[in-house]
Amino acid sequence: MQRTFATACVLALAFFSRVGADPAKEIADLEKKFEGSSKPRKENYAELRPEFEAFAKKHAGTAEGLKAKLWLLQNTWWVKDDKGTMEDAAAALADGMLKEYAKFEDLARVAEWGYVFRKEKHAELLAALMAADRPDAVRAAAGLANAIRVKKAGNPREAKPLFEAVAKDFGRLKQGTTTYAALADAHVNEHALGSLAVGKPAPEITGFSPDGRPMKLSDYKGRVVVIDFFGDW
Amino acid sequence: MYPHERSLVERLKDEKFTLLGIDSDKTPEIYADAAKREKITWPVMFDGGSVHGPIATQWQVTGWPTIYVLDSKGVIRFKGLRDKLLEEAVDELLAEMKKEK
Repeated sequence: MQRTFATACVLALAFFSRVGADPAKEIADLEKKFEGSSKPRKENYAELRPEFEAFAKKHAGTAEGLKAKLWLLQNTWWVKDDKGTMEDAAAALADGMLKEYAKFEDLARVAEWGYVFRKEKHAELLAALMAADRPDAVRAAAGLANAIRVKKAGNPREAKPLFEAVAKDFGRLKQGTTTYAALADAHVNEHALGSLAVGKPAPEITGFSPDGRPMKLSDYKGRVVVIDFFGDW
Repeated sequence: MYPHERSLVERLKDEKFTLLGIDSDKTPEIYADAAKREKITWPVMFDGGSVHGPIATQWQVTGWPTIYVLDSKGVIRFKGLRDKLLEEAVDELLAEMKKEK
């Protein structure tokens, strides 16, 4: 009886000490601290890295823990001047995440950051992320990243069936406001730079307004048009 | 970029001219904030929520902003112009269009 009471006390204490500590808010605040700082990125990264590492350890196995690990992975970029370190650090982080967070959808983001890995390591990771027992969101992102990897390595003909497979298997799956079908199709039907030269008719553009209405470039036929690829950053 | 785009659109509001933005922001909410803050009144396509969206991919865009200037027949006439040079190019194409009519 006494033991039960003691256990209850410990549990209550553990519970109340966590009240007010919301891990989702905590990690969002950490990310904001990094994004919002006016310090040089590299310096800022070095300063915040221990905080992200501590958070990842404390919340290991949770969605928030994975978020911290993903931040650490993406930002290995900032150690890139130390030759070899970025690739080694990234490989170790990714290997750990693939095991520890095998079924988390957010793992898809590992596929997007090819630039922090050695080429062979990147290919190996993508193959592991495409495995049948991963969530669809992860398999789709890895499949697309793998097709892009092959295309960029100078093998567009080899990449084409890979893009088509992504469209067939995961075409209806969303990435942001678009779909894997649209992304795969854009890669397969990429405009040759020669067809985007001065003097050439501009290829049609179809898309959606930010609130989801369909739009196309030819809606503005008969007008002088400035096309401005932009972002608010 | 925004103030110049705004003044270009304002100056040519009665002309057969359109500034068409292709936005590579991560979420429509980020765009909505920018649109409000920067008073964006011109048409914008949202490219899926990534710098690797379908339109930027098809057009092989790797730097922002990337600018194309099309004449009234839809032919690409200038690329990569900014500020005063962009204004002059648009004026030239508008004048050309009027002359041909």
